Amino acid sequence: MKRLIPLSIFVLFGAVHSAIAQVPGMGMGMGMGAGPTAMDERFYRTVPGIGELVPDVQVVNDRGDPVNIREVATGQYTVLVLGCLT
Amino acid sequence: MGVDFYYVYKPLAHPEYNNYVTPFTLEERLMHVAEAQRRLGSSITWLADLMHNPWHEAMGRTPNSELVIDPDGRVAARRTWSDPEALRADLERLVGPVEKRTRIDDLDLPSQPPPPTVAKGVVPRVEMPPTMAGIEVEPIIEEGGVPFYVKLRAEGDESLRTTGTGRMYVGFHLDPLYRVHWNNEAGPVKFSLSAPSGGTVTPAAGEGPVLDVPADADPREFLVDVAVKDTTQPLDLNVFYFACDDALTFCIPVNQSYQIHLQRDNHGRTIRTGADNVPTAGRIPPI
Repeated sequence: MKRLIPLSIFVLFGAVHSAIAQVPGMGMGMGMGAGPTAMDERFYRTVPGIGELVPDVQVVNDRGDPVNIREVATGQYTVLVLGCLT
Repeated sequence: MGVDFYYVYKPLAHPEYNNYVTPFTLEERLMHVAEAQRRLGSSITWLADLMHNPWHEAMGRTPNSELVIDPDGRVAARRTWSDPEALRADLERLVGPVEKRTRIDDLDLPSQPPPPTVAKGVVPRVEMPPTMAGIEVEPIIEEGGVPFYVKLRAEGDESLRTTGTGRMYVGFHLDPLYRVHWNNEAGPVKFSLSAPSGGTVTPAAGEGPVLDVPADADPREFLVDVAVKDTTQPLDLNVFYFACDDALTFCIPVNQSYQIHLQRDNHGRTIRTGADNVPTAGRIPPI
């Protein structure tokens, strides 16, 4: 399941991410504004702080096979981004 | 040291945007993932949250947050909204700089448009009353049954959600991932609603408009008045429609059922329209 990506690729991720942000309706970047919102406050209240373990949560891969987030995020640096079609 | 990258698919932030509607099953959520892969053309690995959304909950129900996790599985950076430049800085600090930065122009990302639909704008949208917000709908999924080609979205005003008396919106939306349309020559959508014991729904039944246009893709929307004593008891809804695919390979009658719970759907998010992407009139912001 794990897919180790060379260091040089992380710049690719940033570029892809920037490109996605330019695709209308892909749910990237909407709602960004000045000052903390209720959503910001909920996020920082809910999500583990710096140095704390990532939540031990099961999701699935794109074939529907179970994947444990903590397991895939252990052993290398990992970036996890929430997204959807809208 | 390498870096793994994942997108995690979550509930729709803004149902109806580009016609996408909330999936009812994990299989349908994986159809959304496939659609996201098709539209973005990116090779970044997608994961998908389960249907009770444990990861979305763990992330504070944010629509586009991001985490950087260190090799020990501990949070190294976090932010409410994904920010590519900030992420780049995080990774340079944590892992090290790169020799050559990749620019968007360096990538061949064949982003694709949403699925085409037949005519829209044929059936006028309903005017939403104030304080409307999504409430929980529970499709009754029968083993071996056909998909929910048409999906119910329900909303209630604040009075309905808190006291059990108020206005409710029921909207039947085509799921664009099934490539279906309303065949107006086959007959309109029909629905019936029933309240729990002692309650009322007015009207308790309805049907879509009869149209001269042979096919369209507009939602069929209705407003009803509800009065129930116990807001923890669901309403029952039955719907009948013809599911007709755009490739004209099938056109079948479909009967499906739902339970509508008057509790606000914390993952239902807000309908947004227009270039300014603001909540549609009548809808209140998500919680």
